[in-house]
Amino acid sequence: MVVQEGLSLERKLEILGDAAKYDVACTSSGVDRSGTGNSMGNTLKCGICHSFAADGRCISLLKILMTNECIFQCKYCINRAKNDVLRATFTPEEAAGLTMEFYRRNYIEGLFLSSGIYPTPDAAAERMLETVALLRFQYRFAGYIHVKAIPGADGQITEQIGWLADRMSVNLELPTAEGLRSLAPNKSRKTILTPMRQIQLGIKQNRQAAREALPSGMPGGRVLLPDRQEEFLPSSLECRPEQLGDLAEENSYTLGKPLLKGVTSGFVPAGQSTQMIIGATGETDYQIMSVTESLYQKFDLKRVFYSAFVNVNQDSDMPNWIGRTQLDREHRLYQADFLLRYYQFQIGELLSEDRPNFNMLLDPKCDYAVRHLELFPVEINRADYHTLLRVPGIGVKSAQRIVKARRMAVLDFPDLKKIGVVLKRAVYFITCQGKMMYPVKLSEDSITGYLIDERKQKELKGEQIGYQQLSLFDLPSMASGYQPPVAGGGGAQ
Amino acid sequence: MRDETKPMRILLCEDSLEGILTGVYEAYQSRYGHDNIKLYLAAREYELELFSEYHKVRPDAESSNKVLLSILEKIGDTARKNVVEAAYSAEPDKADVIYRYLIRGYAVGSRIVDYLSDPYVSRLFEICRRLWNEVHRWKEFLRFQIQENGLLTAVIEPKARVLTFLMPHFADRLPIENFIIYDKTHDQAGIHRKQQGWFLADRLGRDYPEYTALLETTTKEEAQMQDLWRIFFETIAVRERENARLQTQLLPKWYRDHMVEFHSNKE
Repeated sequence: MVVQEGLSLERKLEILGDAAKYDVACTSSGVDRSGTGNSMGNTLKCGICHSFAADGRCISLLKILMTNECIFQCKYCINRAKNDVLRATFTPEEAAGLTMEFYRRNYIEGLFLSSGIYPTPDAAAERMLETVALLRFQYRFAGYIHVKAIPGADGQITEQIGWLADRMSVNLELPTAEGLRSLAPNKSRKTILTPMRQIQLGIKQNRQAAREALPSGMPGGRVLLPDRQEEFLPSSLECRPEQLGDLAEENSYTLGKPLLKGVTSGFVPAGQSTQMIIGATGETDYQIMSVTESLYQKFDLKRVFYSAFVNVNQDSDMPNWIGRTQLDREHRLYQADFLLRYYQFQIGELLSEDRPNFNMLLDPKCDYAVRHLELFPVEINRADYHTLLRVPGIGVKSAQRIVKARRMAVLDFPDLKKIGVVLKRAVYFITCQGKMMYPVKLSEDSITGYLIDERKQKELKGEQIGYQQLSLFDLPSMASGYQPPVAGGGGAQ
Repeated sequence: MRDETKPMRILLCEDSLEGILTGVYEAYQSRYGHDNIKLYLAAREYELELFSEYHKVRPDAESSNKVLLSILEKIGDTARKNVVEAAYSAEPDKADVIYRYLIRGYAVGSRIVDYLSDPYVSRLFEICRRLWNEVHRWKEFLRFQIQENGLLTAVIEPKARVLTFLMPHFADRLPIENFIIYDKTHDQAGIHRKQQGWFLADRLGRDYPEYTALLETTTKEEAQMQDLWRIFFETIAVRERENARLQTQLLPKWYRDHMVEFHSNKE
């Protein structure tokens, strides 16, 4: 281990920013908090990105580690104990000071604080608590704070952090218990799920208390999901109830009081999130998305993030970075994640044991639609909101606008374009006043051919691929006597 | 219906809320027929149209207020808000779009906001959306510098007149700071005094050019802080995932002129 005394602030920021960059979540969303007039900062429900790095990822928060010293040996992590890397540690004053200076200049929305485990989980968590307390009390900072919960740290420390942070997250790290055992020997499903459940229950109790404090007759907060009695995660993923059995008693957890009153808006008001590393171990998309679904349903998570595995330690027994393919897979997972959260889809509708991976040629929504042609086309002027949401090219906003606009006038294709519908995709699945925009042959193969994006088509044409896929582009002969609407599958512009 | 016996009358409005609404007022007062009138912005250059007569509209607060009040009464608050926002936008056709939107609005009342299949309603909606996109981008990409006396200064070059919408955001966020945001494009400054609210000042650059130059000075301490931010900005990118196209799509280059992470202090 390389320990260097007296590192400059610049050097520390370089080391500890670099060490934090593989954490995905950079969102500053989920809570609206106006300024108080005498403190520094506010937060917006929609969140604000302040810059975009060379990799195109948003920079919203000052994302740093408290320290990159660590006693754990996680194989995927550059900071694992046995690595010979430069180590650095921020003092709470340094971390809080940087946050304030950056915030005043409108570089950031707030702080995203994580840490290596050093010298113990409790000590690491305490140092983070100290930093956050400095910000909230000494600097009267009312901007956004996201803190990683430290697995294995005392629940009381986690709780106090929760009273000061807007969002907390515990990294699930790997989708399966098996993967976790092999790659992160010092972590276990239990040390990860315990704080996750604690935060979930804390949020719930805090909201309940806030609702009861309201005068009767006032509308309360968000309706809480009913308790689920099933196991936490699907049994097919080696997370049987008996394995997590002793976690169930955590249900008796009672949220304590904040030690100090300050500029906070409750316990973890922006909710909790988690992240998984994708592609380090061999699970299928179906397994990953099933875990995601249960995290949303059983842990009330706000977001699940996916991070394509980067072999930072150059381990020969770990998969190497394969660029585009890995990023494309990550992209499909995020698309499916949106379908779960905003489009009322269930994962069983998108994937199954027999079709365990996403179609790399079509996004999950198009893929669902071409496999369920019996549901289409739908009539724009009559279909209910839920049905509209299932049409490729119609998003949440455009579905809402359609429902509003058709009360005033009968809608036709040019109107849909103005409303924001992506006709290029939607045109195969909708009618306006009983008519389709073009005479489209409703078959899975022909529609797939039009929907595959041009980049993919070029890639495929340059490669040796099987007949099945080639046939998709062999359209003129397949659909004889019928002219495709626009050459190259570009669709209606 | 267009009356072909009358020449088309084109009202040239000043590029401001007052200017455009005065144009609307005069169009109504003239009883010349809506289809025989168009509203243009005076500042823009147009190809003169044959058989048209051009009238310059002198902005008038009283007429403009009358229109605002009647929108509020007869069409509703959402429509009033949309019209005001559209007037602050940078879209060249906004004056005529507002005029046509209001003609329809007076006919159907508050339901006008849902007539998205109407070309002028949807265009107005689009204009507002663009304005809010730009306002949001400046909330993201505006950068303050801290001057020796503790004053926060920022310079922006927006397309639309965004200050009206930006100032409430920053006043709520930084109530305990003195700050100035200077809109170079429109020569307008938003000035916030610590715990005392904010106001807009026009023609700061014309009247006090040496002052607007001061807003862009960087002190030595400030340069150090900017260096720290550049270090973080460079470090946080994952090399394996580099994607300049995506970066440009999300952060268009014209916003970068005053962003410290895209410029070095050494030049």
